[in-house]
Amino acid sequence: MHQVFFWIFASVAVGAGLLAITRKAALHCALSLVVSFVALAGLYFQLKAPFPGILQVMLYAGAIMVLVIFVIMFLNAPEEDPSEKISKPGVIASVFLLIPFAALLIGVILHSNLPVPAAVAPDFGTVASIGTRLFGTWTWVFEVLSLLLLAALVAAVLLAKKRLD
Amino acid sequence: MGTALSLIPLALLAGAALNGFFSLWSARGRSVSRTLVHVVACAAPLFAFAMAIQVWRGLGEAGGRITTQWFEWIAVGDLRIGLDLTADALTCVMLLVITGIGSLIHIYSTAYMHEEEGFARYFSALNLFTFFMTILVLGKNLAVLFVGWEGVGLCSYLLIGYWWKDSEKATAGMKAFVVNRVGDFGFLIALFLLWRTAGTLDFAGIQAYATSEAGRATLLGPSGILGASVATLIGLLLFWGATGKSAQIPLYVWLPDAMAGPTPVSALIHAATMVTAGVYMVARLNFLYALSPVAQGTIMVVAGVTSLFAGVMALAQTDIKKVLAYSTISQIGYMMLGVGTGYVAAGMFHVVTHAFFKAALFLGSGSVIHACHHEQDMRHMGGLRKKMPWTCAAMTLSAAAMAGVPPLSGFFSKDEILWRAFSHGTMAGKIGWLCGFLGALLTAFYMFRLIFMTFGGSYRGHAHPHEVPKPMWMTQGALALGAAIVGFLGVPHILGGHDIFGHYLAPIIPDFAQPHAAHGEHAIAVEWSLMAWSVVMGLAGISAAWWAYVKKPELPGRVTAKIPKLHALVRDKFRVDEAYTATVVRPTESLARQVVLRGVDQGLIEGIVNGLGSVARLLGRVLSFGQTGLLRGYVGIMILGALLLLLSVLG
Amino acid sequence: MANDPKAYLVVSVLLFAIGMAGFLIRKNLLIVFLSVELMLNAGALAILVFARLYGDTDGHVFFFLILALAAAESAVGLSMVIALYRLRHKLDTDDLVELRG
Repeated sequence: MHQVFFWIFASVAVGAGLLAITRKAALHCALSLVVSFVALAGLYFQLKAPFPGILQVMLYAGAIMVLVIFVIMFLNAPEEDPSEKISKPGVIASVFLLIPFAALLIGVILHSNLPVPAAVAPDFGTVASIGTRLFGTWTWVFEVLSLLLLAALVAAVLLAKKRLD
Repeated sequence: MGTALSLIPLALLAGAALNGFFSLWSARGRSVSRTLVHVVACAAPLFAFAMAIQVWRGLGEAGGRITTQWFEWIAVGDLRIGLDLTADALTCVMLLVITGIGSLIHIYSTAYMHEEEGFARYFSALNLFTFFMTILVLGKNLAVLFVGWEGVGLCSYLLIGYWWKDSEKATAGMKAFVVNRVGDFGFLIALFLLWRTAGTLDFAGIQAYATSEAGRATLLGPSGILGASVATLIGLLLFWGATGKSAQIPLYVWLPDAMAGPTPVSALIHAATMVTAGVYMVARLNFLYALSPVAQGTIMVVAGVTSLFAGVMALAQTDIKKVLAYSTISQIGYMMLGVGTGYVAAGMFHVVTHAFFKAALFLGSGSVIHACHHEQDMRHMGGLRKKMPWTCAAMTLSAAAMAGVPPLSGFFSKDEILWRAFSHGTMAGKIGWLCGFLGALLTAFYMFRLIFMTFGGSYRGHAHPHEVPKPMWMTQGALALGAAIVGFLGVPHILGGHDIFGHYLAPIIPDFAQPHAAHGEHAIAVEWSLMAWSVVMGLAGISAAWWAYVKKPELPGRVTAKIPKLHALVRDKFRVDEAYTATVVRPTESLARQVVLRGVDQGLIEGIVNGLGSVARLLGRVLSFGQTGLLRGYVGIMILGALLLLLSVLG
Repeated sequence: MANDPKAYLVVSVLLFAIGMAGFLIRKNLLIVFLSVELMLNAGALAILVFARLYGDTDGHVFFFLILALAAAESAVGLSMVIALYRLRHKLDTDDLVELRG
């Protein structure tokens, strides 16, 4: 059962990801990415991480991508924008740099001696355990994160103002 | 007693600082009370004078030496130099002269400088000079003495260039500074050598070293340079420094130019005190010179020749201050001759008497210049006898003292020097004596030439001379009076005196009972005849001056017309300045321009700096090809980096 | 193989490579932005794989951090995209070369 789901989610995630970078229209790309993210959320569930999975669907695929799609539609760039074209040097770089890089990395992973997944504690991945960690060990990180979000909020307001002055 | 000692320089420093503050204040356009500046300027040296008297009177109780330690100044390795002050008989003599005559000249200055704008700056520098001069004589070791030595040089530079807007005067200041630096080079080398040899710069320490068996042997041993002993080498290097500060051949050329400064400055710095620093230094280290007959002989010859040479140059000068400048060089020659004999009391006595009569003469010439509206050429003076009676009296008295008219001070001091030189028993002593003896004739002649040209005859200028204000004629009168009577401190035994001065300085002279000056029948006869001859020479000079400038005023013109070339040579100061320019200044300048500026600075240093700049620019230009501004390019390079990293990890 | 962490990691690498390829070959700034999001998720997946592998909840916390970072980044990034579009009416990354040396 697990295997089946893994193959489904993995292939959907990768396939939708490929679509997301190859579709011509930005809107299509964004929608493909949402699909990829949802499939990824499925993989998270498989990894006994239900809380990240839920956040992935709700925040990533839901909130953030909606924001992106909103911006795409807001700008409403013309379909026949020359910027929709594919960059040839980019393709060359991908073939000669990225593919060896990815192949090498995959090779390393396949030949590594990773341990068999341990049997996990019953509360692994529960909201309660994550919350305890987040507000216990990582309290200050969480506080810094809130500052980061505040700064991003202010920056976003300032940058998106109609006049840059 | 130590407190009084410390207060002498500190009071002067405080005065300099206060007046320096006033000077800055007025430079910002605020008005500064002239009276306040004058009070501060005069109170500082007067207070220091009072303290100096205190120290002088307490000296006997304190066993002939008062010492106060301020703080440890330099501590490097074995070298320990404290900023310590000490006073003994020699210091006291200098202190009383510096602060006493200094006070009078400060008072004189208040009237002399009353038209000047930068009076606060002037008095600040004058106070500062007095401060450094006291440090110079109070220093317990040569390093502190050197601080004062350099400090007075600085103040001399500041005051010569007081009217710095006149580039000629500013240049004169620089000349004094640079020429002194040449001398300081020798002085510093001597200090290093002394430190290496004796391991101390302390006067007492050096003396202890020089009198110890081992030290004596080392000092008398060979130095490895020209076969001179260590003591000779040190002594000659120190004397090299002294020729700079005390304007002896070959470094005297700055002193006549230094007359560009205000006249009270010439009186204080370039006649009474600073230029005697070299004499003081040689006197202070007499125990060292006692070990080196070669150094002593050199001093005597150089000093003697200087006194004669400068006397000749003074003959043809028409600028009243230039005459005095050359006479100062000549008189310092006498002092050097005196300390060069080893019997330093003779030289120091002349320092004291000279301080009085030369200060009075300079102040008098200042008054004359002041009265004639900044006219310095004696050919445009004359007949001032009636218009400026006080000044005339003071100057004539001082000139007589300088010419060696008995019983004025110069007679006693000069006579003592000539006698000591004559009876020194060496060839150098005889040469020094002969020069000094002939110089005495010249001294009398040029001094009374000055007096007759200025005060005799009728007025040849266009101004309306008048007697100077009270502070001016009173101070010069006081100095002239001093010049008349101070000689009685050193009346020699054969005239029934007790040579109070010599006995006072006896503790600092190791071989007071000079063997070659034993009072045999013969020696007394020699002393008597020398004295008589000096008087004759002095009177002959005065008479000649009277004959040539009063009785037959057309005579000098006729004489010079017969020997035009010689006259021109003397008038042009033997063209020594020109010779120095051709042999030293020009080559140095061209060396500086060709080698240092073009070669080292523009070639090497700028080459390195610009080379570094162009390397950076080239590197930047090469690297900027990578800065395409394209995000893709940067990411591509990142991937490349990650790939290489991965490969290197996998090895 | 499904429970083998290697398979998940390979997926993570593939997604990351796809994101980077998108960055390299696309010219549209918005799609470049999307590629960055994909790479972020690939990284998050790897973290969650290792969290599962070692049974450590900290991985989940870090996923949370990545999420918040992505939110902040998209807020700022998108507003910059908007500002840029207003200024130049173009989203071509090849044109944004003002920082060329």
